[in-house]
Amino acid sequence: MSSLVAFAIVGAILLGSMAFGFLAVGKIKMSPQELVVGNRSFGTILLSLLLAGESITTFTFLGAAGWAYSRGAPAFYILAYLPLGLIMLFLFGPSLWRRAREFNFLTNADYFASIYESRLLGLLVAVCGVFFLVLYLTVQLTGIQILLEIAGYGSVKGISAGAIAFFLIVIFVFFNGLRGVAWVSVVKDLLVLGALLFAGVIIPIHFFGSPLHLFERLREAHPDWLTLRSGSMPNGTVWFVSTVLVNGVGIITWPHAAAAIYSAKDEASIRRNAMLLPFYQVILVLVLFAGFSALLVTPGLKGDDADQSFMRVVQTHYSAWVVGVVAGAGCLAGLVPGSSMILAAGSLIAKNIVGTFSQSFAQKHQTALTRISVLLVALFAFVSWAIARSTLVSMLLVAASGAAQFLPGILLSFSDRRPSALSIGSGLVVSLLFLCWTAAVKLPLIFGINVGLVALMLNFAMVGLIALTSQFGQRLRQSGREPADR
Amino acid sequence: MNEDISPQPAKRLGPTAYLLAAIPFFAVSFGVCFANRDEPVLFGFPFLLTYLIFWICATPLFLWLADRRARQ
Repeated sequence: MSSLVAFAIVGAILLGSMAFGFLAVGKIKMSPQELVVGNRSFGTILLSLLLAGESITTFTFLGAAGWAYSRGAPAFYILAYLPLGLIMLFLFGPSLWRRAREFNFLTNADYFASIYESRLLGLLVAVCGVFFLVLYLTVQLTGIQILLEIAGYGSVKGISAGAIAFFLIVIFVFFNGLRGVAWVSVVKDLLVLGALLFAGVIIPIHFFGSPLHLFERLREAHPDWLTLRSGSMPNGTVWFVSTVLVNGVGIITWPHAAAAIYSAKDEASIRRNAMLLPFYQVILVLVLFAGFSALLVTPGLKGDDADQSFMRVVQTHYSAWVVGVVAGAGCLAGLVPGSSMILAAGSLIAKNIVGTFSQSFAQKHQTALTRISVLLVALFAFVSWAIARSTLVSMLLVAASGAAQFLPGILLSFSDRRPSALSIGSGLVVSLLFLCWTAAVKLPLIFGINVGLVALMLNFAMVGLIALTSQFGQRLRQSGREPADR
Repeated sequence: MNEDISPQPAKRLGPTAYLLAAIPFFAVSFGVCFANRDEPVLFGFPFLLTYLIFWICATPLFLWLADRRARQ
C-alpha cells in the first residue's frame, strides 16, 4: 500500500514536470543550435535555473548526506567547491562565451578544435568527454535506483523502475533539448528545496528539538566528527584543499557546463549567475544536517548503504506521501543534470566525432544525428550500468578528475603565447593515463593530495615541456638552416 | 555568421578584479587549513562549518565588487 502511494507520487512528479517542460518549450523549431545550446538566448533567470539544476545532482542529494553519515567533516568539501567553481565561471565564463558566439561553437570540443586549429585535438576532447559523461550518467542512474527502491518499500527492484525513468527523460531530451531541461529545473529546484528543508530542518527538529541540539548530540557521540584530520592523512586538510580545487575547476570544464555557458544570452547573464548562485548553494548545508541526523537515528550502515542513510530515516519514520515527494525530488535531481549530460554527449558525438570523419554528412543531418546520438549514449550508459556497476565505481574517480584535465587547454587559450595542439593533447593524454593507473592500483592519494590534482599538475608540466622542446627544436633548425640558406 | 556579435562591449577584468576574486577563492580552498577547528562554536555549528558558510555568502559580495571595478 505505502509503496503504491509513494510510487504514484514519484510518477506524478516526473510526468508532471516533463509535461511542464513540453508546454514551456512549446513549438520552438529545433535546430542544432536550439537543441544543444538553446539558441544562445538564455537570460539570467533561465541560465540560473539551468546552472542550479546542474549543480545539485542525485550525488549531492544522496552522496553528500552519505558522506556526512560515514565520514563527517570531509563532506564539507561539497560546500566549498561550488563557490570556487563559480569564481572560475565569473573570471573565464564570459570570454569562453564570447568566442563560442563569434565562431558558433556548440561543444567544448569545437572550442579546442578551433582555438588550437586541430580537428584531431577536437576529436580527442570529444572522445574523452563522452567517456566521462557516460560514467557520470551511471552515477545518476544508481542514485535514481536507490530512490525508487526506497519508494518501493522493498517490493520493487530499482533496476526496472530505473530503466523506465531513464528512458522517459531520454524521450524528453530528444524533443525539447536544453531549453526543456532548463524549464524542468523550475520544478526540480522548488521540489529539491522543499525536500532539503524537510530533511535538514524538520528531521533535526523532530528528533533533537533543533539543529543546535543535533550538533550537541553529535559531539557527544562522535567528538572528532566535525573537524578534518590534519595534514596528509586520508581525508585530511591536504586532501580537502586538493579535492575542492579539482572539483571546483570542473564547474567550467565539464562538457555539459560548456553547453550551459554557450547558452547564455550575454556576458552579463553569466556574471550575474556567478554572483547569485552561491546563495542557492548554501542550502546544501541542510543535506549535511540530514546525514548527521541519520547517523544518530539509524547508526550502523556500512559502505554504499550510507548513501541511503537519510532516505531510510524518511522511510521508517514518515508516511508514504513524504517518501514519495522526497524520492520524486531526488529523482528529478538525477534526471535534470542527467539530461544535460546526455545532450552534451550526443552533440559531441554528432558534431565532433562523426564530423571529424565526414563533415558534410554531419552538417547536413546535424539535428537528426544529435538526436540519434542522444539515444545511443543513453542506451550505452544504461547497458554498461546494468552489467558492470562495480567496475564503474572505480572508473568514476577517473571521470571526475578527468573532466578537470581540460583546464590547461581552457586557461592557456587566453594567453598571448598559445601552446600548440600537440602540447595540449599530450598533457591531456598523460594526465588521463596517470589517472587510469591510479584507479587500477586503487591509489586515491599521493602525499595526501587528491590524485586528480596531481594529474592536473602533471598535465600542466607536460604542456610546458612539449612547448619548450618544440620551441627549442625550432630554434635549432633555424640556426642550422640559416647559413645554408644564404 | 552572427549579425550582432555582442550587445555590449567586452568587459575587461583588471588586476584589482582578479585580486578581489582571488580572496574568496583562496579562502574556501587553502584557507580551510587554518579554519579546521571545532571552537569557537557558534549556534552549535563547528567553526569549520561557520567559516565555510560565511565564505559562500561572502563570495557574491567579492564578485560584485570585482564586477564593478571591471565596469569602470
